[in-house]
Amino acid sequence: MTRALPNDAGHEAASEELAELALGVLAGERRTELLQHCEQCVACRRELAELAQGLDALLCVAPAVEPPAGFEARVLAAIAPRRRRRPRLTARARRVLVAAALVLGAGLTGAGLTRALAPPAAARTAALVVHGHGRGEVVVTGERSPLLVVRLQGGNWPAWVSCELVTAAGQRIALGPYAVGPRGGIWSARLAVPATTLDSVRLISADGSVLAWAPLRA
Amino acid sequence: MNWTVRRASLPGGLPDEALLAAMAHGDADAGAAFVRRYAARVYGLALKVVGDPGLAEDVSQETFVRCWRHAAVYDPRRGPATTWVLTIARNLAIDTLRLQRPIPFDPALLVELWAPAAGPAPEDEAVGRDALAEVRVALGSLSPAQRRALLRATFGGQSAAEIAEAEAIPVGTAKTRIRAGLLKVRAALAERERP
Repeated sequence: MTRALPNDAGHEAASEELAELALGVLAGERRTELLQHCEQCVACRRELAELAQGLDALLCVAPAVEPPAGFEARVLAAIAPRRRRRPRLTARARRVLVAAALVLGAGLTGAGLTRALAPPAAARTAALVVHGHGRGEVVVTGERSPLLVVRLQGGNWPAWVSCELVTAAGQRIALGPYAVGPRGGIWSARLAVPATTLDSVRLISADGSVLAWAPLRA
Repeated sequence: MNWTVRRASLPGGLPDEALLAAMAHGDADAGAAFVRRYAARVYGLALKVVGDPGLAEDVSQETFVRCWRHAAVYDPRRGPATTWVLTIARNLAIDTLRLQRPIPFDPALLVELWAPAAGPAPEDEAVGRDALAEVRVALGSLSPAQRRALLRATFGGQSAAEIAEAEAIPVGTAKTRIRAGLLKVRAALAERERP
């Protein structure tokens, strides 16, 4: 049975081992104890984050070495059985994904977002009507099996958000839940219904309240 | 800003986050582009840890299989893709190394990581080219004993107890050396980021 280290007495002992925790070389019960301690101790949590950043930087100094000839082909062969199960993205869907990803990478700010999210011709985009703080947009691309991309930014989003699509015939399709941080988030989903049948999308919190909605009618 | 369409025209030009999002939807072209982009970085890191080309290739291949399998759970808010893929590679390499023991891990073989004569640093979104030089300088400025402990833990996956045994030092000293070394590397980065 594990126990959390007390915030005061355990702090000093914990801080001595945080580096091993960050490096992933601490195992078993002690690792669990330290993680529990870090949940309670702001100072240790901060130091753990700094140590992890140090590790990330160290990994980047390893020099790049070209792998043996044929490596890429062998990797692709290894993932082939998995990739055959899934449909390929169209070039259009890729354009939407890159726009969404670039927006997220750019820090979710300002008018650049609107330009970056500008979808290709046949895609539809809609601003979310948010009940409360925050903003967001929805992009639908493709016709028979469209790709839905939802982007939320700013505001005060809960940790998890579910998505409900409503078709013109009144059918409700539940998606998610998706993890959303307080600063927003982005997710995508392949839909099994044609884009032309979509009427609207609603974002719903864990307690069932509607956080935002957007029209999707063609 | 008119980069959106131009960059999206070829999978190889997509940013990491978009490649991973496309991989999560089973896009093989995105997977190939991702492998092409990171193969040398992943293989280089794996080779540093396991020290054997065949094992390093196995580790690298499994790294990309896992990236493909888990692309959907990658969260760009938690850090750049570079960090994500290199962390997967390191963990797999260390697991492999543990299975291969008692092959000894020799930190002296990692001298090029901090030596000023090390080859040009790759362009990196997680840690920029100049920052990588700073990290190398910070690594080089550690005492040899401190550096050995840090490299043993980082690239050899050794715990403080294992380092203490290998270096014939108390466990507490090994803990202190690892922590101080890692914080010094982090401080070098923080110093750069300070306005």
